[in-house]
Parts: sequence; structure tokens; C-alpha cells
Amino acid sequence: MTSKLYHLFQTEDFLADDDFLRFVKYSYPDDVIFWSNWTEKSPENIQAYRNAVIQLKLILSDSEIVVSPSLRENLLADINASINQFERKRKRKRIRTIWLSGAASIILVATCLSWYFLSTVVVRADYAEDLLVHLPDGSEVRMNKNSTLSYARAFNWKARREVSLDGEAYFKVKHLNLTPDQIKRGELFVAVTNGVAVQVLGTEFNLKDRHHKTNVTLIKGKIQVQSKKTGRQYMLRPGELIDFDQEGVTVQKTQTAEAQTAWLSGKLIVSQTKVSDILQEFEDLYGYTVIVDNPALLQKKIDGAISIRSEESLLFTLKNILDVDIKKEGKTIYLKNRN
Amino acid sequence: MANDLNDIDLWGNLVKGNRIALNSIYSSYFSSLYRYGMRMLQDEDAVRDCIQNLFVHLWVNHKKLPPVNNLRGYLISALRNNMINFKNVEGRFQKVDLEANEVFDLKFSVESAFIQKEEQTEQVRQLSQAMNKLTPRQKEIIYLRYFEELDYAEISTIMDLSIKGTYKLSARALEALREVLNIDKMMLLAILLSLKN
Repeated sequence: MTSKLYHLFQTEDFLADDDFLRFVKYSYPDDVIFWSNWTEKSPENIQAYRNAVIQLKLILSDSEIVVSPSLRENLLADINASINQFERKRKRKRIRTIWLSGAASIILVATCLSWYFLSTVVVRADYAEDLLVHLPDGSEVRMNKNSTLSYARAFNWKARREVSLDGEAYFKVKHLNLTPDQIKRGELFVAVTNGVAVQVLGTEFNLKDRHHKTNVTLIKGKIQVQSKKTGRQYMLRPGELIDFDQEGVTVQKTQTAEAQTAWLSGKLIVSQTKVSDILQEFEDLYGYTVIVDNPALLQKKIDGAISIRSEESLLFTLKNILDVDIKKEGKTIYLKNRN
Repeated sequence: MANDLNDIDLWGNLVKGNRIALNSIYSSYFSSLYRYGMRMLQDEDAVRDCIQNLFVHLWVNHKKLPPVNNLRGYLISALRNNMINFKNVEGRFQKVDLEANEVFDLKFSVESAFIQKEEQTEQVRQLSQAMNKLTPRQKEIIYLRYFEELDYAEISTIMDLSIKGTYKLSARALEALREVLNIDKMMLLAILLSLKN
């Protein structure tokens, strides 16, 4: 404060000075002593100082508005009351938000769970395509061409492992059961087709269901086959096979287990098999329609092994065995007798 | 007019959501705000509502409050905006020029100024008359400077928020004022600024 050059101040400089303002406004003892000392020295600008004091007093002449303590307290109480009300609302809103978001997550989780537990996995091997499928339990399914396999997405959570098949497939079922007299949840494996249900614990078997005719061939282990039409159950031992017709009745066939699984090595083994059956197989596997100009040809019976690895090799074999000309138009194949 | 350290703490705590800080700020500044509000509106209920709005608003938005250099200046500015909103709502149906017919209740009188008799000269009387002829905005500037002890930067921030339209104080009156008052250059500048806008 003493460092200021007050003796050079004009009226306006005094008016702009905070220390001077404080002195005139509040007359604190320190300030009063300072300024009376200063005026006693009779500085040249004493008139400017006096003017400034008068002007400032005039400026401050209006008395301060009286503030009632009760107003101050009541207003504070009102402010706090409305803040409390606001906070309660905000809290209620927050709780509602928590509830709503909780409900939303439950719905989301439920949707995911029901999707997981209710939805089905569908695997399709197209015409001319073989597929190897690994099931969630470690079992393997080799799918023949033009076949569809489906199973629950929650495969391992089900009471029994269940797949359904349309077409042909070879199953290597993983054995989960350790105590044969006590079969636990999920240990039983069931393969279902249009015509049969095959129940196993752990085995290797071939299952074929086309044109409402079913064949089950057991290679290893033990299976129980139930005809869905008749409800009858059959136990199969390794090397045995069983055929069902459209009515679910077993039919006697001369096929061997070896012949039934020959497709795995890309062959079709036939013994006294009608040409019509072979052509049906070809249609099934490669998705063609075969038209034969001579119906007598269809009744002809053939023995041997035919490669089904590709349509070309199959057609080549047929051409030679049947002595026909082959014409292909889109998805239709014409077999014409050579004269 | 440096910011009180205490004010910085209080403000920081309020931003963090401390209710006690809000109450302390209220206790420190209620008188200032009330007096300023009454001079602006001359209506106790209205001033009360505006102050209540101000503090509830401070609390509701405490997370979004800006850093503040001068708490007194900030609160006065906030109250001023509240009061202008209040008047806008009140005058919704009759579109009045709010700034023009406003009153700022500040009077200057030689008699009540503790000026000794021998100093009550004709010049001082003229000065007092000239000062009483100041516009409400000019009186407000004087009030904020000498009663609230804000500096000019703060005052112009506060005033700029709402200054619009033109004030017509004749050049002659202004000149006379400057002559008799030897008025502080900075204050004259502030007045001129307010006239320009």
C-alpha cells in the first residue's frame, strides 16, 4: 500500500483504487491511521483526495438494503426442500432405470438361452459332395452325398444325444458310458430317420433312409433299432443289417454289411442288383434324372463293384456294362441303346 | 479482488456434489445477492424465487459447472440471468422493452452521505443531480463497482451478457457528468462501452 505513489494521484485515480475505497467505505483503524498520516504531510494533491472522498461518499450514500435473517433462513430451507425433492425424483428414476435395464438384460439372456436350447443345427451334404461332421460330443458322422443331418444346438445338454438324418451316413458314436448297467443322462445316442430310431451307447453303424426305405448296418458294438411305423424293436450284432420297407416292415435282402458301407471307400457293390436300383442310386447321389429309352434295360441284373467317386467314372462304367450311348442335357441324362 | 482460497475450495466441493458447500456458498453470498436483486427488481417475492432458482440450478447441474475465478461475480451474473428470464416470462404477453423501462434502485443524496456541511458545495449538489440522472445500467455499473467491489473486467462480463439495444443518454449530459465528476476514466469507459452496444 505504501508503495503506491498517492501524491501523484488525480481524483479518478483515487476512485479506482481498492485500498482507498476500503478506507472510505469501512474506515478500518489501520486505514484511518495511514490516511491521516498521509494528509498531515499536506501533499500537493490534497484537493484531489478530498474530492475523491466526497464523490465516493456520495456514490455510497444510498443505504444498504436491510436483509432479514428470517428471510435468509426460510429461503435456505426452501432451497434445501426443493433439492431434496429433486434428489428423491432422481433416485426413483435411477431405480426405475436399473429395473428396466435389469429386465432388458434378463430378456436378452432368455432370448440367447432359448435360441441356444431350442434352435437346431442343420448340415447338408449336397449332390456329389461328401462331408465329415464332428458332433459336439466328439462323435463323427460321415455323410454321403445328398444327405441332411440335424441336431439340437445344445446337443450336450440334452437328456440323450439325438440326431435326425435324411439320406445316408456312417456314424462313429463316442462311447460315454462307463457303467453299462447304469445309463446316465446324455450317454444314450439316438439317430432318427423317417422310418426308424436307432438307439446306441457307442458304436459304428451305417444308416440309410431314402425313398421311405431304410437300411441299418451295424459294424461295431450293439444297437437297438425301432421301426417308427410298427413300433417293433430289433437288436443288431456286428455285421448284421436290417431293411425296412415303406410300411416299416423288415424285408429280406441279400446285401452284405460290406456292400452297405462300400460307399465310404467310393464304391457301389452290387450283386444281382437291378439296373433301375443302380440308376436310382446315381440319381440320389448326383441329382440327375436318368431317362432310359429301353425299359427292358432297367430289369437287367448286375454283379460287381462300381466306382461312385465321380459321376464321370460312374457313367463310364454304366456305358460299358449296359452298352448304351449317354447324352447329358442339363440335369437330365439319356441312356440310348446302341444298335 | 483475488478469489478467496476458501471460495475455490467451496466451489470445488460443490462440483463434487457436496451439499454443505452449497449451503456455505449460500450463507456467504445471500446478502449480496439479495441486495443486488432488490435493486434490480424491487420485488421481494421475485428476488426470492430467482435466488432459489439459482441455488437449485447450481445443485442440479453441479457436475457441469465451469471453473470459476470470482465466485461473487459468477453468482451475481447468474442471478442477473435468472432475473432477466423471470422478467421475460412475466412480460410474455406484453412485449415490453425490458432494458429500457427497467429501474435500478440506487439514489445519491448529499444529505445522507456523511459529507460535512461546509463541504456540501454547489458543485457537489450538481454532481449528485447528474448522478441521479444516470441510466439504470450506468447505476448498475456503479453499484457493482463500489458496493460489490467487482473490477471492470468482471462488470463488463456481467453486463455484456444482456446488453442489447441502445441507451440514449445525451452527449451533453455525459459531458456535464464528466466535467463535474472528474469521473474515473475506466468507469467512463465502461459507461461508454455500455452505450455503444
